Amino acid sequence: MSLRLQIIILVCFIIALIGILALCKKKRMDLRQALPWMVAIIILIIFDIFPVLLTWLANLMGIGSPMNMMMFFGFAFLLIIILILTMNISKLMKKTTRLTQELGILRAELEKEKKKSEE
Amino acid sequence: MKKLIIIPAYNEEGNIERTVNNIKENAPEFDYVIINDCSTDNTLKICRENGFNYINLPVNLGIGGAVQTGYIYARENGYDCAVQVDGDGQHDAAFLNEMAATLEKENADMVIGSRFIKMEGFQSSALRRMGIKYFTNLIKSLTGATVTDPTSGLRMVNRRTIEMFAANYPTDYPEPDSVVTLLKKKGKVVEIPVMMKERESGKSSISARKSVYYMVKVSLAIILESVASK
Repeated sequence: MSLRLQIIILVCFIIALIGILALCKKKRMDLRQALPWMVAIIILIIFDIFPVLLTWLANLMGIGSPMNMMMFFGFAFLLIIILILTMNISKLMKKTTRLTQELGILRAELEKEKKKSEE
Repeated sequence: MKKLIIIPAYNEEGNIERTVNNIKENAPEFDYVIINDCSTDNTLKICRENGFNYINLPVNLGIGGAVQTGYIYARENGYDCAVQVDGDGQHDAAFLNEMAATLEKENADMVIGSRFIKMEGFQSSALRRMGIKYFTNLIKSLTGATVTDPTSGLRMVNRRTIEMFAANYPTDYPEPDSVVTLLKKKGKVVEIPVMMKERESGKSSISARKSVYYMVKVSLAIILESVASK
């Protein structure tokens, strides 16, 4: 990896990290959900600053090119995050369904009570 | 015995009045509740103007969530028996008394109105019948029970099943799925012959494109359901 590429990647990661922190600050992202992203970016920054680590790990795993290993890890990480997101959506759907049902029943009861008191 | 009819309605402005009048005429000892699943047509207006008993859902939940609302309502208001009658006019309320009698006599957890015992009335298309036959066979091989019309929407359940469905109900195409859940919990499912009519207006929720999804989703749900509770 050339020094130029290393610097470009470093700058990109730092911008991403600041971006995520800014989203948390503006309360547009929950810190709890931002943490895995931040941890991943910090790990990637460490690998970017010390490419020796990357080469060592790639050799250890029998992957020819360190860059391929980065790709593989990135892909695996994204899949895990998407899986967690899908799980969260299912959970949210269940919650909104319950709330909608309760709300519908409550409003129907409220209207009946109103009618009764009007009479 | 307090008996409730659950009528899920999504854009049924052309059918809802007829459905309710049919109930008032043929099954007067039943209470009914319409679950308006955030219809975009005049269903809500019709319910309001006629003074029907309805629950209006503020967002669209789909058939599963709508019917479940009815079961929650049944649970909260102490009903002993609840039956789902579709808002599209396919189900004739004349069969409800017979179903209730069977539920009580057989001490069943669910009574299904089946189109395929006597083979009378509207029989659906050949392709759909094939699909239904497939589900019948799948359910038989997984639970040992024979259900001739697992997709029938006309189903009456007792208090125990009301509570079960109020707590947990599939989100879409819930019929075959929930029958299997009940069978796996050692519930007693009885079928009686009924006649259904072809829907009077509006469209069926299952189009050609969706039928592939239907087959895959329901098969998977049935298989998972029968594995999970072992």
